[in-house]
Amino acid sequence: MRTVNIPSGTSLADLYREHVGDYPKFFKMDTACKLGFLLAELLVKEDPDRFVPREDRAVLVFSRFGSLSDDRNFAASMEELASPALFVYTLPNTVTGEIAIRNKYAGETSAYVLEAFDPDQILNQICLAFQDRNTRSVLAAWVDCPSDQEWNAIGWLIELEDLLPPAEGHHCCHGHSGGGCCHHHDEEEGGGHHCCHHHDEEEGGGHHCHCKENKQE
Amino acid sequence: MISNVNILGCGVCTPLGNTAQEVFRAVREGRSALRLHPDAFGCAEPVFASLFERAPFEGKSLFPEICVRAAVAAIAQAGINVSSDRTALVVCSVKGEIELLGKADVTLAASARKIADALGVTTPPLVVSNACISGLAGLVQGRRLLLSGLYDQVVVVGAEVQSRFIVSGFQSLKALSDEACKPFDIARKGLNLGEAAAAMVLSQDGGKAGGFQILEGAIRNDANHISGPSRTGEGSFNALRYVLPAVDPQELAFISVHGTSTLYNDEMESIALDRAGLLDVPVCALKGSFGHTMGAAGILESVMGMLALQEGIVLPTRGFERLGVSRPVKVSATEVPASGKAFIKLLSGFGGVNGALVFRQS
Repeated sequence: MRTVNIPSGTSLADLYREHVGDYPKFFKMDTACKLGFLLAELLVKEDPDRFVPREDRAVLVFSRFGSLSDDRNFAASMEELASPALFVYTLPNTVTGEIAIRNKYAGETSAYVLEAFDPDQILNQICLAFQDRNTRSVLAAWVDCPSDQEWNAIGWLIELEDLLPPAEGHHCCHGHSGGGCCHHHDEEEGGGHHCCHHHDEEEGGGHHCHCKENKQE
Repeated sequence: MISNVNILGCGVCTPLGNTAQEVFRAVREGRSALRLHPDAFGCAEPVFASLFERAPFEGKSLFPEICVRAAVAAIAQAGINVSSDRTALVVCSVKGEIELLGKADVTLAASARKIADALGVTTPPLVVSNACISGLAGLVQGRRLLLSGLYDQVVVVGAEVQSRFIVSGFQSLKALSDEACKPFDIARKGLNLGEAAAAMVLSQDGGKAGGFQILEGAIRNDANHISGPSRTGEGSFNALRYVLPAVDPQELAFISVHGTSTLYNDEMESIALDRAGLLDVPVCALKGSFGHTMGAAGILESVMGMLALQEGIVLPTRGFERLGVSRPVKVSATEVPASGKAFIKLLSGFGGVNGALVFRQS
């Protein structure tokens, strides 16, 4: 798993020039899209075979504020002449589309709004995305941008293998036999369970792994 | 291993009526609430749309109100314990209460909190905001929440309320028709916006003979353009290709398509259907009945699909007269008999996102 973040107040134009430089469409994007786009660049720029079209990587973007900063900018434009260039960024999922276009990701893309930064809820949705049998990798980000000046931006790249237990183990979470896991790829006979989540144990051994035995014959 | 989920209850709240049966009857009879609103929302141009009368909602915020009404109906039909910690709420919308921008917290998270509190849901709500496939994407994720064992029942509610914000945006993109939309028609010239809420309660338990299940779902991106569909129907085709193995082709009664009535969307869908080998399956598009209800569309149009299947019909595509796409899609202005126990719901949206869901009656 890889993690990156972009501290609030960072010059996004500088970051773009340093790490990207060849994608001028970047400057048309609203702040939330720029953040999501740059997080993705930082996560995958070293990928071998980058830009080879792929359907096995999902893009999930989470936030509390959705597209609020661009909503304000578009609403201001309505007073004169509503701007189509601003309107297209008033959808919380536009950032997922920008990442998919840049990287030629033809897999799942989804945007979720949460009441707060909630690692459990985020990890749950990431694990659930692996229920799609074509998804072997998830690029996820928390892109929260209440204004164009302040934000929280964290990105994660999670491969299906990251959710496997370290050894030959077949136990999800904390060695709870029979426990569920987020995924059970049928092609991995006997490979058993892929854990996706280490919940701190609640009493009674009630473990909440996010589990599915995905048998699709 | 059971990997299907049951639909235990449905609810709708639309300008055409407030029960699923009532709305189904209206659509079947070719009625619609689409009409010209000369000065809706203070927009410069008239708006041809399907909108709620505001008077009955005086003093209430429309978005959470219609969500609650649709969800309450679905929950009552399902008979679930909504306050259990095994019950999840998924709210699906594009713009929620955006008409209150500058006056209140208009985030979808704040709207979802109001809906959860009004319903008595105690678990943290999840909002899916995946453009115009939000409702369908919410059903996909709701199904996964159940299959993972995280929850025992999931209430999925999708809705959209129109506003100067949304109308101005679509006007700026020149995407709106100034008359009733004509899905797949040669003379189509744009979409109509619509308001509605629709809800479903899903569970792995409680399936009944004759009840409906969701067999499979998929979301795929075109990776092509943020505000226009792929010319080759890439994402729509890929979503179809993923879900098709879950359904016996002999059982597939119809496909409820997106059919926004824009030039590009309907053409794109005809190509995706062709590529998926589905040109011999009847299709229906309901935007001529409801307008484009955005966050509600995936759920509302699926509820109509279930009722149509129960009655053994393919609903009429209101507004369609003469085929205007490059592939011979089996679309009809009038009701036709349907045979089969399954149907597919197909949607596409901004951000290049597409989705497909398979429903089957047991």
